[in-house]
Amino acid sequence: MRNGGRILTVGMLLVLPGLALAAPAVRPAVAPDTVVVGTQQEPANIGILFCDGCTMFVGTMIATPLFVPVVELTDEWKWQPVAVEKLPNLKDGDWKLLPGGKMEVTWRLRRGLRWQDGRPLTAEDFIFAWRVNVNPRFPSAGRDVSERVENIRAPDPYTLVVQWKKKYAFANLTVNGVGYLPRHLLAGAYQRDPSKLPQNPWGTSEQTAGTGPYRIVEWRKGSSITLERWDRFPYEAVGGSWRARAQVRRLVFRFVPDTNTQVANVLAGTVDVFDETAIPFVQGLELEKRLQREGRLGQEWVLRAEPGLIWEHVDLNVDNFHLRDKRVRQALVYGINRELIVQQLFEGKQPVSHGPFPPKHYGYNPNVKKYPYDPARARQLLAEAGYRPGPDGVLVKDGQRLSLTFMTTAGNRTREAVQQIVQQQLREIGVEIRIQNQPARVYFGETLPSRKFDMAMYAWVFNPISDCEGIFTGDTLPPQGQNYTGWKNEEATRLCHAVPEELDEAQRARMLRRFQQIYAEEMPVIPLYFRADYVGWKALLRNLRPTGADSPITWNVTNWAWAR
Amino acid sequence: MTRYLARRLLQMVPLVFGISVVLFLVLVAAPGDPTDLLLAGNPRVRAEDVRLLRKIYGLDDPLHVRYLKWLRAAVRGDFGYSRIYKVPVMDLVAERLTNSLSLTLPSFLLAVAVALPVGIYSALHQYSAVDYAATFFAFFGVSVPAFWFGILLIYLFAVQLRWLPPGGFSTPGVPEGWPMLLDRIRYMVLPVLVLSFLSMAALTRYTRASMLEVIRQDYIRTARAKGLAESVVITKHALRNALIPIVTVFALLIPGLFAGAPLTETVFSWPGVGRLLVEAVLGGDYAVAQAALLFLSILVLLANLLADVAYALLDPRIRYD
Repeated sequence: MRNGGRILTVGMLLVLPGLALAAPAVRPAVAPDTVVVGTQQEPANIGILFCDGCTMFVGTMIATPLFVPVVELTDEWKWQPVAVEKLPNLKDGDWKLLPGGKMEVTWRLRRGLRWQDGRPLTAEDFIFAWRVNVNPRFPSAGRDVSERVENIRAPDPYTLVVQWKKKYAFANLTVNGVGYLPRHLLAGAYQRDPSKLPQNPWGTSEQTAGTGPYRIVEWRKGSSITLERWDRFPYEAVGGSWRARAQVRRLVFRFVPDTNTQVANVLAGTVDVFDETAIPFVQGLELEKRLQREGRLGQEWVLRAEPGLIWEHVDLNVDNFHLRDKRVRQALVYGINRELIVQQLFEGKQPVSHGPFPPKHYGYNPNVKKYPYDPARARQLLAEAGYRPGPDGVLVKDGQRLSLTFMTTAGNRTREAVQQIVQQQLREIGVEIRIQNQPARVYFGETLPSRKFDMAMYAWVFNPISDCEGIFTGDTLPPQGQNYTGWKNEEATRLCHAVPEELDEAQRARMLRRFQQIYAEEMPVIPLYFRADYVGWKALLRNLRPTGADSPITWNVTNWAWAR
Repeated sequence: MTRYLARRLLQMVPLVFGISVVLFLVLVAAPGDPTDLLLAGNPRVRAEDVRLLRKIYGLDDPLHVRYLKWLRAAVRGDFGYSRIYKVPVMDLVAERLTNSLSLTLPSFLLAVAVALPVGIYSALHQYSAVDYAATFFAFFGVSVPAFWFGILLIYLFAVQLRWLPPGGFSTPGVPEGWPMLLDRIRYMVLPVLVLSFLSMAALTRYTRASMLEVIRQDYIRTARAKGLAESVVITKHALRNALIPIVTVFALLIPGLFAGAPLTETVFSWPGVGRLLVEAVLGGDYAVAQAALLFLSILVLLANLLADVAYALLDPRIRYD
């Protein structure tokens, strides 16, 4: 009977792949006026973008069609004004430097923009949002930019004059560090209790009146959010890609927590688009190969994996007995074949990084010291640092074996695979690596902030205007900041604090390039690679243009259209 | 019997209180707190932002203060707000519970409807072809993991055959009324199949074993000897006795109906209470985890009571005073 069972099971598995009877999924999933977007997590709040614990990325993706942005970042990484007439600049005089390092920036809102309940969008809504965000009783997770603002005035409902306490390089890209909120809907609740604002029905339910070309019509918690075209949106009043009249009538965001199920949705054609969070890179690679094999890639589905701004790296704790020596840190980087890692695990689609910034970043420096795989050089550096082989082959200095714990988030298959390769390669230069992984909450909540690690692998999520303050500055070790390596370099600290206050982009780029030089020489990390996440859409769907930056795939949603 | 019930219900009060303390301590003892995940990978979050958040959420209060605050609100029926979903916990749990029940109840009924007759038939025709087939499927059902079986069904019925949707809850834009009901059923078929298949397996085995034991008893032989019709022997004499242990198993399965099915719900993207509980624990949404777990504990206690009462009803030898 046992054998019978085995035969039956094997038989079932053999028959399954042969059942490809149905026609390919070249049609829209639901209807020719609807686009279904598959994503992994549900946002907590789609109204207040800077609320705590918001699954921010998904939140922004859904909020983008609902709220007309002040400025937009295109797929060419160009900034364009949308809800404002222009980006202020020093030449035109709407961005002024004042004595004492202060600044004044004047914005002009476009007329004709309205909330979906009919009220006009005015300067008061920006001032209100700013007041909320700097109030210590409001649970904001991102008030650093807002707090640089001293005051905001509105001489008329469509003009904003923003006073900055000190220089801020990107004062022409954000009005107030937060955006706008509907004052007429939230002022009462805010007065009662600012800490409860993220729980307001506005932002968490269908009652979220927006200002964009789409409005929310249904929110099934745990399942989906449906948006419908709002035909009273004033297309002629806005700028950038938002001038194009929206063609898709209905947008559905469907939350699929299990990535295998997400892949099944793609193969079955029951989603039309999937975003960066939906399918992990390695599964995306498999999906791409499978679609290719079945002749469906390009015919049915378009897949893109653009390396972006997520930097995967290993922090080295410079207070460790071994790692405080620069030569040891450099030897570790020489001793790891990173090119082999990205080829073996990612087929080269996630490129090796030599520092924190990707080539698309305005401050990227291509001419930093690089560390190609060179075990001989690694051994030589370790010998110079005073290490001699011990009885078990592991190097020893002053009676201490060169043995390091290597931590990362448990259960992340990609990171675990990288760890094993690193462990094996470093063993060959006489370094013992002990892998010790932890659940994400312990790892990010306790281990990193208390700096109880020798080597820690994780990723930083940057954006096109990210700089080096906070994580690479020597006076921002936890709890003051997130400099987990503990690396302190006087020049780098000075440069990194100065960058956000330097208004000249060329000069800023020079400072960042110098910082990268110092960083590459000192190597308080092992730079690994830039992450690329798969985004996909049905070939029949036109004008999807992922940016590879932190702006969501919906940034140009009004341009999306089904081919006839 | 009434006095017995009253006594048992009264005993539950201190028990529930104790459970709530243990739950609270276990959840608080878990390393990290809800503000940690904010920091992960986001260079913009500053230490003082985290400190402010901790203050707003009262995370810096001493343990007993936090517990008493929770208890005081809970006895008034206020279980707080979900930190992840930003809605009152009770609304959230109630909604998810309805969703879970719409999966677990049909699968339970289906499982019982199949398992009872198949189990009985298997026992009466031991080593027959049907018995072997039932045993095979029972072992298959007990052995396969839910997530794997779920993915297999999705692959077969959604990806290859395209008869049914690969998970989800409903098709957007379907008009309300009959079309919506039919649409919902299409989404329910696969998860109900997975859930019922898994519990069907165990129930078949229990029924078969219990029935096998009973039909070998002397009183069954006596019943047959006195010339009763086989159908009467089976239904009146054998089945009623065989049911006693089975009813206990059924009663203890009831809390499971309300606990939802985390794996199946996740694989099929079904917004049920099981998935909610897992998300709440992983995301540090204590208010939700605490309320949902407490609620489930109460259900386990009630189910145990129900099993004891059912015993008495089925077995005349058992009397509670």
